[in-house]
Amino acid sequence: MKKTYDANIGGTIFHVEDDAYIALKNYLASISAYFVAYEDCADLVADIEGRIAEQLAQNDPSRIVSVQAVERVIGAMGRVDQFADAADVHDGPLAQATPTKGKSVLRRRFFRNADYRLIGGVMAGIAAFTGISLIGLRIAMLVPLLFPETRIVFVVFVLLYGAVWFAVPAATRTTDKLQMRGQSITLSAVDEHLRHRNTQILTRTRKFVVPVLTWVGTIIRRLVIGATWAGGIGVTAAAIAGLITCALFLITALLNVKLLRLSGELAGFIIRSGRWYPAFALCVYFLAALPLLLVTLGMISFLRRRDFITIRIGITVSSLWLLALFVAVGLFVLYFPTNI
Amino acid sequence: MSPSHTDVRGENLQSQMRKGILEYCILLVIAGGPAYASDILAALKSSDLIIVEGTIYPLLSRLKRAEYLEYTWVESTLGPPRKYYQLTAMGRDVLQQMTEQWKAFTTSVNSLRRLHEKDV
Repeated sequence: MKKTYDANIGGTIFHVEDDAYIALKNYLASISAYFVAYEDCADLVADIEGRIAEQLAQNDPSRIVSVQAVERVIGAMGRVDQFADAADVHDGPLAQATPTKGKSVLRRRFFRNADYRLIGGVMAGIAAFTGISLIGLRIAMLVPLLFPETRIVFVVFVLLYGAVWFAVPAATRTTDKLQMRGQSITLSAVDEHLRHRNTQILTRTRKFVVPVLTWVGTIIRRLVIGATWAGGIGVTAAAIAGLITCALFLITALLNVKLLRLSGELAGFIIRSGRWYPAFALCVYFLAALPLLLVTLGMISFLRRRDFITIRIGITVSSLWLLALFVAVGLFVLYFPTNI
Repeated sequence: MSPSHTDVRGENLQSQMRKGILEYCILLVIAGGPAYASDILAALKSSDLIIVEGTIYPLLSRLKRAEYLEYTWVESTLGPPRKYYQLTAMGRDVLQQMTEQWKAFTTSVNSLRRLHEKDV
């Protein structure tokens, strides 16, 4: 079973199987990249596409395109390099730009080289631009780390790296990549480049470093997750312990206040507030316990990934807390013994 | 041709010749009446002149840019409209010159071959 795409090829709709679609797309892309220097490049590609459509329609009147059909048609049409001699470099408008063969009159441009990147492709870009060995550059960047006095140089390197990463675009188009290396943009160079593009670039460094980085990354992630959980559970436990302590204090304050061994002034306040005393104790309890309750609910929500703090709970708790604050401050002002 | 080109001449000459001959053949096919790419391909294939079909597209493009050819869109009953190529006045002149040159070439080459064959 294969997925198909409806594709408009040269003005006719075909049902193209997914692998056939990719093959055809790559083929047409290679042609348009090859003839990009021609002023009538779009026409040329459209003509070739039209011929391909005609052949495909002849091969299968039901307009279903398999990868075999595409390969057959591409085989008849030929790869770009097979009709390269008909499209001599001297034909194109680039003939003026490249008067003698292989000699570039284009200036090199500095790009980040994402194909060979380890982090942002900055070093690889410098290597491509200057022709200096990439490994050499990377080692040179790390050398200042060896001596304590020169470590600051490494920090400067890192900052510069970040700045370049941010400021310099990566070479994405084929012409960018050729320009980065100072190669002239000839049709054959573009074709050569495109044919090598599809092979995945994994430099030796990346082959070695990427698994190590992935491994380190996994460990760090697990540590962070573990720490978060441990922290979350710790905070929740502390908040619950706080709530229990508050409750114990409240019970003690209401049943046998002497056990709290309060100092003279507070004791005086308790006596003076008289029948308001239990209300005051309850308000103080709320002032301490409600935030702890919110913390507990918040942590449980975080750990269970479910929100336990609804808007209603939030509003109730905060109004209650404000009320408690108001009453407590009022009672305190009224009954606290002051030394006038 | 400047001396700097001699190092690549061996390789280039063959492709230059083939290209020249193919351009001549394309003009010849179109001279027989308006033709679209598949007609031209069919004619060239029947005479074993091309290996891959893609070859003619850059050539057509070149001939068009040189204003030897022009095209008109013609409706087709079988699918999308087709591009029918025909010779321009300049194209007919060039074809005339090419034909004369071709005759001269073949005459010289054939007479040389006859001489050579007599020796053998």
